[in-house]
Amino acid sequence: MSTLKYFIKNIDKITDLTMEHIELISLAMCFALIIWISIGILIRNHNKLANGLLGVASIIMSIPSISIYGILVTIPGFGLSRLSAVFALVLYAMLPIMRNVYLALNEVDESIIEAARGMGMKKNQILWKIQLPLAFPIIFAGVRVALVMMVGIATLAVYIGERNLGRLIQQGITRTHMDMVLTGGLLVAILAIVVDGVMALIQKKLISPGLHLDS
Amino acid sequence: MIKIEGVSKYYKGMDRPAVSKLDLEIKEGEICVFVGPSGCGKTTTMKMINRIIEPTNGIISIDGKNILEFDADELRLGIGYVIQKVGLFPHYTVFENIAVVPKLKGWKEDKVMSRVRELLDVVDLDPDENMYKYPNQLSGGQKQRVGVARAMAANPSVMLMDEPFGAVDPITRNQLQNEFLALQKKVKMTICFVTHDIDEAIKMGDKIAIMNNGKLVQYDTPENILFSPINEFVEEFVGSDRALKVLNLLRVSSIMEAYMPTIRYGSDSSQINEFYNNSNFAIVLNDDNKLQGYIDINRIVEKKNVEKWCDYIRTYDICLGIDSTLKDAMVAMLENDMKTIPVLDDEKKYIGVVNFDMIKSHVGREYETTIE
Repeated sequence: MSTLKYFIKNIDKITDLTMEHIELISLAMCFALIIWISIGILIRNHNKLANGLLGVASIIMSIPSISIYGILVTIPGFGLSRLSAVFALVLYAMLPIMRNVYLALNEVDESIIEAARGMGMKKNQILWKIQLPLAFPIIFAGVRVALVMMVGIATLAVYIGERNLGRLIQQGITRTHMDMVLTGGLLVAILAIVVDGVMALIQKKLISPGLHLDS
Repeated sequence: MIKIEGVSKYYKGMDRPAVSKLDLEIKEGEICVFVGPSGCGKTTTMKMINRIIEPTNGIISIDGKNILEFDADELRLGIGYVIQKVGLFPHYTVFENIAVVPKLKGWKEDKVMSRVRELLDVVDLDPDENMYKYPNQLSGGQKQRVGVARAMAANPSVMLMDEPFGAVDPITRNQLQNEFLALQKKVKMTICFVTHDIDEAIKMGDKIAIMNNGKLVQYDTPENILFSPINEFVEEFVGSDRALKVLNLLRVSSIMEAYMPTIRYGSDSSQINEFYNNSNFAIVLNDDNKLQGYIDINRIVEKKNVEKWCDYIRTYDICLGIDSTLKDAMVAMLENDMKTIPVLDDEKKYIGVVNFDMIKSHVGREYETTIE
């Protein structure tokens, strides 16, 4: 009850923090999509390079986010800035997005590619009209995972100067203000669930019905 | 016309070439079937025609033009391509699948639409019912029909088919083969057809190219392959049941006869007495030459009921089409315990009959003449 009271009383501040939160992950996701999808496409036919990059991505994934933030802050040019926060989030998106692009493109049925080639489609046409649409469900699943993950990891960016829902948790703990902690915690959880739900809806809309009806 | 001159294909690390110094010409409007054991180079040869695989040396030309003069993608736009796994694009509807090449060639929307409808009719799929289905809503046979329609979309003069009917059940395969032959009769494409099934080769081919270890062993008509195999390999490959395979090659149209008397339904009984001395049976036809059945003349005369001969008509359980093979005829005879089966033309009009003795003597004769 008191949590609700706290929420209503601070609604303006909380809205502000939520918007900041969404802004940060949106920004990071934009960069992540451009960078990792492009790289995923570029490495699709280079298995050795791909395995190397996937190894790097796995290592990054296994580093705790707080330590990545810590390392980035010490690098000149990054420091206590939004750049560090965005950069960290983009790094975490590497594995789910790039790996899924690479795997999905390579998983497209060989006979479909052969048919496309045999019909006279150019390499680019095969990539854009055949391979990417067929790989899309898997790529989208990777993006969805990355996005939900970012919602959580972004909260820790408050330690390097970000203002977002994580701040409620961080300050609540230092001030032992339980309503504040709970509000922050619940809102981050809800945001993650909502983001996931929205992505599920988009997924349904965007994927060709021919790929849904797997019977 | 496809001309293959001295074409070889070497792969690194292989001790013999996949295809070795191949010379062969496929005439305009003919189906040439490449057949042989796996690894014989038949698929490699086919894929060199549309440059999916580039030959190491030699020249391939289509209608007198070296295929290397074309841009590879440009070349492929003009060649139909059907593969065993069909390779329909699962995220495209049937319409979109068939429209791929016409659209790449920049056809106008309405022209594409009418062409797709026409093609679906040609491959015996109802356009309205199937045009907006996705491939995973189709059966194996339907998919392959769409695959053939897609390959024919932009009226290619050359078509490459890699075991196109290999992945469907035997009944559907037989049906697709017959339909395709009927279709080819009309459109007369120059076709390169790859299979490992000698029966299919005999049935589909105007010419058969038997390959082994990358070399062409014999290139000839199905008749000559069956009756005069050039060496032991061909003989073995064709199999010991060559006489039976001949049945698959010959069509009832070439041996049927109209030796049985015919009588119009409802006509005067005087004809029956005329027939009595010459024949035991007569074929009964409608006014428009459609088959009504047959009568046993002896029985009618015995019963002393010649006036009412129409009451004694028996119907045929099975008839043959003019394109049926002798094998179809034999199977029909054995399954239905009949000695004589009527043959109907495309409009279901009666044109003659085949019987067991005719098949026997005809096959025997073919054998004798060619073995000499």
